[in-house]
Amino acid sequence: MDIWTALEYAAWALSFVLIGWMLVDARFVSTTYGEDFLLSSREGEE
Amino acid sequence: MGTTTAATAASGKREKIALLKVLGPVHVWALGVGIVLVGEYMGWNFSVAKGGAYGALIACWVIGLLYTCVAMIDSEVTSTVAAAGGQYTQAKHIIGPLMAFNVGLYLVMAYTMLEAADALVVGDLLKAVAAQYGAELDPRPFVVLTIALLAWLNYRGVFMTLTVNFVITAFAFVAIVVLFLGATGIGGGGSVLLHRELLVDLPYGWIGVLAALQFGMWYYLGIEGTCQAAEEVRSAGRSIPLGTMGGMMTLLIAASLTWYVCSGLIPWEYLGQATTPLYDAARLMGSTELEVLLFIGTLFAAVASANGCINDASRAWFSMARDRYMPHWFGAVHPRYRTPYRAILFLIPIAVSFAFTGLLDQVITFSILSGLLGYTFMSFNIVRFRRLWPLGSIERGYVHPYHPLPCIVLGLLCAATYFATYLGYGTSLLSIMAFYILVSIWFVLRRYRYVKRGEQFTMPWPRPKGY
Repeated sequence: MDIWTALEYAAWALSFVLIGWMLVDARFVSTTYGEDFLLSSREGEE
Repeated sequence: MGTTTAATAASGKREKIALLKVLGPVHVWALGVGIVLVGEYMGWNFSVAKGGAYGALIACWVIGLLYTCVAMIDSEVTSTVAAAGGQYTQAKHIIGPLMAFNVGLYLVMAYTMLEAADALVVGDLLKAVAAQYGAELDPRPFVVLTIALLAWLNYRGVFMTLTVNFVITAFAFVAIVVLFLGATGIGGGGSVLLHRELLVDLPYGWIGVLAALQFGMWYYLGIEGTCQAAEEVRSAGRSIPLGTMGGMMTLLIAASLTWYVCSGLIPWEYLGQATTPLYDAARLMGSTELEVLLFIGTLFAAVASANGCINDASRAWFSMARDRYMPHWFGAVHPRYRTPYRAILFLIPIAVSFAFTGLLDQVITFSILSGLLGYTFMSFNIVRFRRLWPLGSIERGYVHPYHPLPCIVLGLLCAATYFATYLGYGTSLLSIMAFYILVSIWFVLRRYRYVKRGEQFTMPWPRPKGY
């Protein structure tokens, strides 16, 4: 396996890690906080 | 339900969450210029193929006037409507739900498609590097990595996202200035520019100049994206006008320098077909340092553009969901990072899908046309805004001068650009119109019933004149 092929695999792997991290975190947030709280943002309100 | 809800129930008061207000004018500048600057590195030069070098310069300045009107109008309205969603939120308050739905969709489509195109550019640049070493590189993993990495950055917080954008955008801009100094001899040595020999009359006459207008948009497409930061700036009345107008001035300078250097180094017949004209100009100068600088500049410009596009598309989608124009579930804010995290996540596979079609031309044309539809909306939006809330009736961070001249100029230039687009991409123009008509019918018949009409207007505004 040459360096370019290794870079391709590394790019795939890092992409999956990053997307996986976000999915796991999003799942954690959904199970930790209530939907009413997560969806409580309104325009013009601090 | 976790501790937050339990604490809220105990206190008897409903706890709320909002996007974080941490941005300043520099971040607004980085968002706007970051999205656009890639257009200086590639794309603008197709206007040379249509109208010759002088035609491209006329397009650069005429379309610059169009975007100056956009920046002025946007600065006034957004410094007042300080909410995520930008033009979508403006349309909701000033025109009505159907216009808001369409404008929101223009924004999401324009930015997501531009993001996909930027990621494709990053993949192609890396493929070109590998080819120089005699290797064949598959660009797809790098396209996905670009989108995933930038989405992750956006997910983790807007401050870091736009601070990174500021650094890489400033680098890309400085690279153009350094190339200009090197080419003109101002930075030492003689000028290498050959304008006297290379500039010719308009090759296709004035109709060619008109056709060039469509590609003149590449110099500035996306500067209106500064509006999406309105809910996250510390002071919308100060930051939005400063960042947007400062960004527009930066782009006018960058566009003029780019045209000057490229048209003085590359014959118009070649310049009109080049993939990376600024990089090609650096190569023609025979300086390895400039070549490397402009390669990194091209890469950074594409990454900054994709980064800003993720920011803007997610805010537009989030705002539409918050008002239930799209499923309400997407209107969530991350409790720790205070970002629209579900909207950011949802748009990742959409962007990857657009990128994997490989149809860069069509993707960008769809993006440009969606942008153009948005600018057309702005020309009559500002007239209605001034009529419903005249000067003095509501606090404005910025008041644009000479009203209604800018909106008339904007409307006329949009009409000319539609005609130019019809000349080159008539089928695409008609297809996109049909698409938006169909989704409008869907919105009226199927979606609007879910919108809670009273809940979408929570801005503490005075009643409009006449109501």
